[in-house]
Amino acid sequence: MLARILADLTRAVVRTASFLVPRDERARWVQEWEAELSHRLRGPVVDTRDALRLLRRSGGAVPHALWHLREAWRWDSFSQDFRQAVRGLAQRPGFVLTASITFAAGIGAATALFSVIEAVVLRPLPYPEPERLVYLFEVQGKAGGERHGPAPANVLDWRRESQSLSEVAAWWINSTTLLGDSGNEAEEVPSAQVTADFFAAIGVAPLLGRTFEPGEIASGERVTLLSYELWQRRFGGEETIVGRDVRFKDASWRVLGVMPASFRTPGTLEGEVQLFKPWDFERGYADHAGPPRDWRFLQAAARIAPGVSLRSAQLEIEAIAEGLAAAHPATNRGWSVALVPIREVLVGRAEPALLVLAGAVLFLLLLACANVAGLLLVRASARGRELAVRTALGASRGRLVRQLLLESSLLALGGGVLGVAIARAGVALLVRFQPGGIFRIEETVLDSRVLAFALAASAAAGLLSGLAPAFQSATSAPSESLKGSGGVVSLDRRRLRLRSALVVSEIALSVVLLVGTMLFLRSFTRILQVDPGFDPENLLVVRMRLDDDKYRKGGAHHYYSALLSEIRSLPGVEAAGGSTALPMDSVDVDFDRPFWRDGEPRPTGGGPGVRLRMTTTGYFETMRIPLLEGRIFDERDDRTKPRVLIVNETMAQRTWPGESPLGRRLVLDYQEYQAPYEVVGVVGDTRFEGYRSRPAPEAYIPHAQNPYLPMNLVLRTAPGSSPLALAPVVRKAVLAMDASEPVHSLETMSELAGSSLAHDRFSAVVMTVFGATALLLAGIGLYGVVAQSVSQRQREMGLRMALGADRSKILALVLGGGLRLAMGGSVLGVLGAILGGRYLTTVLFETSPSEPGAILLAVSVSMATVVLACAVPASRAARLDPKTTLHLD
Amino acid sequence: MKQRKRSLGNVQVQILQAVARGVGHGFDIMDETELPSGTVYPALSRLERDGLVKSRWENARIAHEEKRPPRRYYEVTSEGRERLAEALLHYKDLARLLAKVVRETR
Repeated sequence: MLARILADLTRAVVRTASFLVPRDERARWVQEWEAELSHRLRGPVVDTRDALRLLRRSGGAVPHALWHLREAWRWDSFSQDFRQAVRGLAQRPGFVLTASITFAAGIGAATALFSVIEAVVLRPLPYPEPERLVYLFEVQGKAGGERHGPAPANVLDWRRESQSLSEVAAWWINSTTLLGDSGNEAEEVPSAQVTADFFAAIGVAPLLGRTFEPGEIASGERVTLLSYELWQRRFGGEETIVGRDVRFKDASWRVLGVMPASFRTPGTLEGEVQLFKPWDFERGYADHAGPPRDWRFLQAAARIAPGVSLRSAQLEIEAIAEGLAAAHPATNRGWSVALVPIREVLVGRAEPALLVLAGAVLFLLLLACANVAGLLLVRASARGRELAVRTALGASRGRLVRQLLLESSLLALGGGVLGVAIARAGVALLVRFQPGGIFRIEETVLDSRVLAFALAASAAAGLLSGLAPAFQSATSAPSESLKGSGGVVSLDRRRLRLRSALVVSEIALSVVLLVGTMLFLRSFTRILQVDPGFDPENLLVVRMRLDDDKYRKGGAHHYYSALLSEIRSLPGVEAAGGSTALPMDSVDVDFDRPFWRDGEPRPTGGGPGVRLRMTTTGYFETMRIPLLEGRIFDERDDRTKPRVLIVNETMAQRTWPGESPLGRRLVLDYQEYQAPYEVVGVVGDTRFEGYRSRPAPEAYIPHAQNPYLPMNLVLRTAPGSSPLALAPVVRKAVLAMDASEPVHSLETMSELAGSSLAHDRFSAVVMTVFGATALLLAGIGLYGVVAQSVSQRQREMGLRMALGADRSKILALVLGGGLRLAMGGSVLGVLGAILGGRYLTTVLFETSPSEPGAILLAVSVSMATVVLACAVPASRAARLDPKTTLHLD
Repeated sequence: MKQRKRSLGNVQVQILQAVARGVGHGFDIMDETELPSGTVYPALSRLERDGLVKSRWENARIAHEEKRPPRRYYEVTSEGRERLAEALLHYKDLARLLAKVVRETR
């Protein structure tokens, strides 16, 4: 009994293993094993021990079957298939070209985008143990409030009190003037003042020399570190630079070291920091009442101590913040601290847009695959007989499937090579026109990882697009194809169904992409329609920064008013003025200070803030910021007169809702005096932080009453003239005023405004390219299937015409077929777009992801393409001569 | 396509020898060589692929009488015989060499 069971088990093992054996070998293989087993099991009585031995022996069937499997996929049969595939493809260069270009479009787009994602998101951050490195922000209210850079005194307290943070560092990015010397011109470079812990917190050691020592920082020695780039460019990369003195505008500074080329100061997006100077808060604020607690402007980072979690460090720092709020209610009540992993700070802003584009590119790649799959199906039906003959001659189905997959993989590989070339060009364009503010995007390169991705994408695309034709030929009986035209019809009908399904999915994918494109374009148009509150055309921006010792206090005012009247007299200048901060500009001195109405108590914890800027006469006229009420500044508003203020509309409405603010008095918590200012005018809002930003409360102080050393001058030139053409004369005029105070930089306001649009322009352009490609691919796919169906239905159509159908009926028949597919695809596509739309909300500007207008437009565009793609085969069908077609075959 | 001439492995020599002695069925070869089935069958298939053995099916009548499928019977080809001889010669050389080494180390 037991022996019987064991014998059955043995046979079951062999039978199971047999499924591994390629089909054409299987019968013989099974027979050999069965025969041996039966031979041993013959006779009525079988010993249990023998039965066990046979069972053990049957285990050998598995390696034996595997051997046959391996053999079927062995290299020389593979290389035979390979040669056959290449030969087959070489005979149809047109087909190869179409398929490769289609693949190249998808793979190229995917590769280009992947290289960006690789540089921005995937590449490790240039800091050791980045997961321990956190940014510190002060937030108003509990977590989730608006993030502000911390104030110096608070940073000092956090450093003193926190156990879970080691190395709490703060820095402030400004600029330093390097004086001209032999071979070099004077230039202004971005620099950073850093606290003692800075390099330890970031965790990067210098390439040469050393970093600051605490003693040097506290004693205020003039020592500095250089960036690699500055060292190479300005000091010829000489190692003797360490210990040498370099001349800045204020004094000579001793170089302590050089940072490595890979070093990036966190939080600099506008140009790398070139110089580092030590900064001691106690010393730096000695002439104030110590480091301020409510001047929240620093960048700060810390390392979480080993073994401490982000969460417990966050809890500890919140407790410290609560303690500080209790001890210093005037400045700290209502403020807490947020620890944000550095990754989120650096990469977080770019991620949503990149993810959306990655989704779009995936769709595009799928679309390309579907398209090539369609092309391959046409080819498969054209060579149905060839495949059938091969099957009849003994090629196994597995072998045929392998051959078809090999062909599609070869096409995909060809497309991949072409795609990498496209990606190369795309990345070059992308880096050239990159929107400022995407972390590391300029480091995008086609490196080995990107090439590996391109290869993987090509392989996947090749397999995916080869599946449908492979499945098709694996399931069709060879006899059908061999029977001739009668058989071809039913076989091709099935193929056509598969192709139709492919076309439906292509249209669906392209509709999703088109809806996305329309949404991005709409969002971008809406941004362009935003009134920035001033006229950015024909404005030249001239940045200046006067020397502290020379122009302290009143000197700056006299300098700038003299310079401005000089500039206004230049030919071509229509108006000129200046402000400490300009709209659309990210490099400026901008304050967000607490305020309250005169006579009311000071709000605790800071209260609402207003952005303050010092402006000269002529500023509002030059910018064309409209005056809504009262007056603008004039020569009257100097230091001998009562302090006056102009507010913007938002400030007026928030502070004195429903009333006129003229003549009202406002206290600003600004500098050492908290004096009341009288409001003399109300001007229009500006989109200060760029087109997407909401207007914030703003207040303008006459520069004459509060002179400032750094200023941004704006010059309006005649319409049609290029503002930059004035640059040489302006530079000359500036040097004529004081030869030691050069212009720091010059640019046009349209450039500034343009860079505030760069992100959105980038997304809109990339999406448009994707959408257009998708449309083209879907159009080609549809054309192919309709044309094929027309050529296969020639007899049917001829018959219809012979029976009295006129040309318009035939035209309608073909167009109707195409439109039916398009309709199905569109419905699916719209559903997909609505479902996927929620990922777009963070990226779009005042545009709902399910906006009917965008969807309607996308569907209409895709329908128009469908009609276009069907028109050619349809008109060909309508021109058919029934007499000829009925005599076919 | 012509196979590249590879030197025979230990297992293949044992199997080829058994087949050359007239042990032609898979299971009998296992008994003869005391090699496991997972070794013998793939090796046999490989020898057949390389043209060193060939196989034929047992007379269907005999199989029918025993109420089982016909067994597969392997025979050594002339090339197989040559290769086997080469291998055995090589083994003999090796054995002499080993004997010499053993003698000299005594």
